[in-house]
Amino acid sequence: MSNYIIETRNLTKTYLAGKSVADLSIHVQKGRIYGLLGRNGAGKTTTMKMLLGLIQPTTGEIFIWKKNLRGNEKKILPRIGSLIEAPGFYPNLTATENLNIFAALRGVPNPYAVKDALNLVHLPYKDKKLFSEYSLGMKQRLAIALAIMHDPELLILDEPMNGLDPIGIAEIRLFLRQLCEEKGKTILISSHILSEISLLADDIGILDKGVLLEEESLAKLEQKSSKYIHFTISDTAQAARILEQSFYEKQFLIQDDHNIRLYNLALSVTKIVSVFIENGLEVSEVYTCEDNLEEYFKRIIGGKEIV
Amino acid sequence: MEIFCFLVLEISLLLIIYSIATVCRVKRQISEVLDALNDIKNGNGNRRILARTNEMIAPLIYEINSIVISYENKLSMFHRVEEANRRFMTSLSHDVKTPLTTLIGYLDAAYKGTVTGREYDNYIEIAHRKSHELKNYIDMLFDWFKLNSNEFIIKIDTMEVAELTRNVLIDWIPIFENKQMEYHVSIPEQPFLVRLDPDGYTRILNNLIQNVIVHSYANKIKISLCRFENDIKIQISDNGIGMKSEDLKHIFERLYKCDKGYSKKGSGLGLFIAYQLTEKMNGKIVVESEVTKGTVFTLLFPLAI
Amino acid sequence: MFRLLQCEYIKLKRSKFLFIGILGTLIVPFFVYMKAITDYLSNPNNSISVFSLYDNALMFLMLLFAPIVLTILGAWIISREYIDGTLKNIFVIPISQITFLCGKLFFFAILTFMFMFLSWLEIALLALLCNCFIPIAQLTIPSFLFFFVKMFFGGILLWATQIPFLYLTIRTKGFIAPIIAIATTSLINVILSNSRVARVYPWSASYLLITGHLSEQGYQKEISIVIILVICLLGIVASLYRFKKEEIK
Repeated sequence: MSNYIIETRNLTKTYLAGKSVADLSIHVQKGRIYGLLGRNGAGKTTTMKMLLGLIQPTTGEIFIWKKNLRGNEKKILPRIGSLIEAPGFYPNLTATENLNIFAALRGVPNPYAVKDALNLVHLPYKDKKLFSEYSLGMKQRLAIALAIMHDPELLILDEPMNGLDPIGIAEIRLFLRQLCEEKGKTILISSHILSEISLLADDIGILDKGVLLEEESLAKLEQKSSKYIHFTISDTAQAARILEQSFYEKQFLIQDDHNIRLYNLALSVTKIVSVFIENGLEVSEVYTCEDNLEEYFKRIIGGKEIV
Repeated sequence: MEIFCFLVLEISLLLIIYSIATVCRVKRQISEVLDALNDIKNGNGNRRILARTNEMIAPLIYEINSIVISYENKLSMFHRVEEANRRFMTSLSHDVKTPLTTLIGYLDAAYKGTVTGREYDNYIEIAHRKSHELKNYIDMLFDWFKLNSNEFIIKIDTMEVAELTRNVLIDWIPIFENKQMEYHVSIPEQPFLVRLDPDGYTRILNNLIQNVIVHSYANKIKISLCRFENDIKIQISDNGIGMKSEDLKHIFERLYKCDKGYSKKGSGLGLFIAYQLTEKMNGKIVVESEVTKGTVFTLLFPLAI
Repeated sequence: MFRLLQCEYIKLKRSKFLFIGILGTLIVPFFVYMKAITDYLSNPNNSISVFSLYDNALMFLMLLFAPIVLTILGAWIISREYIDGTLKNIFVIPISQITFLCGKLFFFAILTFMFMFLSWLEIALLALLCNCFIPIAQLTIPSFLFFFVKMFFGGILLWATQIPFLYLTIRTKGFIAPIIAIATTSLINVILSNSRVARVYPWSASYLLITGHLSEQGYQKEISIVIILVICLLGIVASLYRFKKEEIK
């Protein structure tokens, strides 16, 4: 299925100290938000820098819009908006002047692009405050404005919520989701905060020590990682009735005629099975899944904590 | 004399170089534009062509971009409908399957004679209740679907909102009494004219009151209507279990269910539909709640002048 | 390229360094006039001439002041990109490293010429002013033009010999090393001012070439020109190579 906007094959970056990114093969689909999740130092920023041509990979290939990045930068990079690490702007200029410089270098899709971009991130247009006087949150907003100013089809954002207050985080989250859902743009964001990614991303790639441990859609991951007891049974209609009547239990989900999931782990599995059997039902499979998303990630990465 | 000739030669040379450079630049830009237009023709409506504001070719580029954007906006309406369809189908399969199958369980048991006598009557009563709940849920699902695919037709008229509210509440009073809930209704006699769709308003009230009955575990409900500056304020308060403040933030979002259970279907939808309808009628809806103390839903609609 | 130059110009707004640069242009004419006036006052028979004014000015400028001020300016326009972290935003536009650095070098040349032009202008204006009080010889247009051309070529040679310090800026990504280097160089300029080594030492050789002292002393111009050209080209190649090779950490 080649509807991938970004595809990397065995992307590797080796430094003297070791492999920063090892054999990475990620797949970012069109019109979805891909969250790159990993602890600090996992290689997220290095990967993004390679995707933007700021760092040359040691081995491996990068395909963006099905074209190899190397050699096609002039055609590919103008269609990408990016935010990498700390915001980099000229401190002796105002926000508008800063954006005007980049607008003059790159070009804009319409004559009021700078104004619109500043409005979107709630920064004043043509005011006198110099960039050196900006707070961290304002600097980050300006960086976001720079990334979206030329209305790119693909956004590569490295920890975009960094430095924003909770209201700002919610605004940017809503804004990014709108960009994705209403305008069909593709977004690749990285974060070390699981709660943020799970609110925003459609697909998740888990990175640890430069290796991609898992790549899966959020929906499937959530399915894999909720707490439930799964029964495979001969008649789910009767099972449902029994659960309601004998156990006063309503927290279950019927998947089809033979599969039912119970979301209350407090009940005794043996008791339930015996009651089912007493009522003439056949139980062929029972298993319990006790992860929530956070524990699932901890298990995969094997670390002590994910922030 | 020679200096003059030399200068003239120099200047003409520079001008020639400049013109050649400009022509080359414009040629390159035109080929970039053709490339982008090809891409757009093949369906990529998100492609933008960039130009610097003082370039010769800039106004042309900006016009092309704005045309593409306006077509994309029309398309995104279709995408939204598609998305609503998709969500609807998923909801249908997920959230209807369980109650329907449970209902079948009860009816099967009754039909096959697994239960008899009083239990049989009990099962029939349960099946009756569940089938009505399911119907209500499916009704709400269809409402939500229609709202999101813009098929929901709102007919805004100048209505007398006090009278309308009274009429809605009259139907609820027997239900309050059945559930042994204490109810207080405080609606002034004077008329208040508001521009709204009577059907929509009725639905909002119904959804909010239904939410109280099903989720709040309250035994007291109070509905009041009064004037608040230039708006009319309707409040529905209860003394139920309340909600935590972090839940309050999401309560009007699609399919947010506080108790995260899979039993009480439709609660997320009901509030979401109320929210959307209120917004469509230029109103505002807010909620305040304190855990174990109760919840207050406040609707604000501007008075028709 | 023109866009890059425009952007460099915008980036100069409100910057203290430009102010320092302009101040720098004022210092030398001031000194020169002070010296000339004191000389005249102590010895009224020797009139001040335009030639002597410019000669002294060129000596101070090319051996001492211009290298320091220009290196400060040049190091600043390059190191600020590293300090402010803007390179990662520029390279993704995309603008190639080589184009970008060439733009900076070009802009540096413009700054050099502006600096020399301002100095020339100030000396000319002060001469006209001074003429009201103290008569100045050779106050003619051809003499001013003659020195304009000299200072123009002086600017070219200054630019060429500053490039290695810009390489130092790129190498150290900072400010301090090139300034220390240029201060040392200027000091050596002063020490070597009357020795034979001066003609092969690029920074003093450019002064000697411009003022014609080299031919006066009977040495060949070609050797000095070649040396200056060589370090200029080496500097450019090294800078481009280093700048391109570096990754954005």
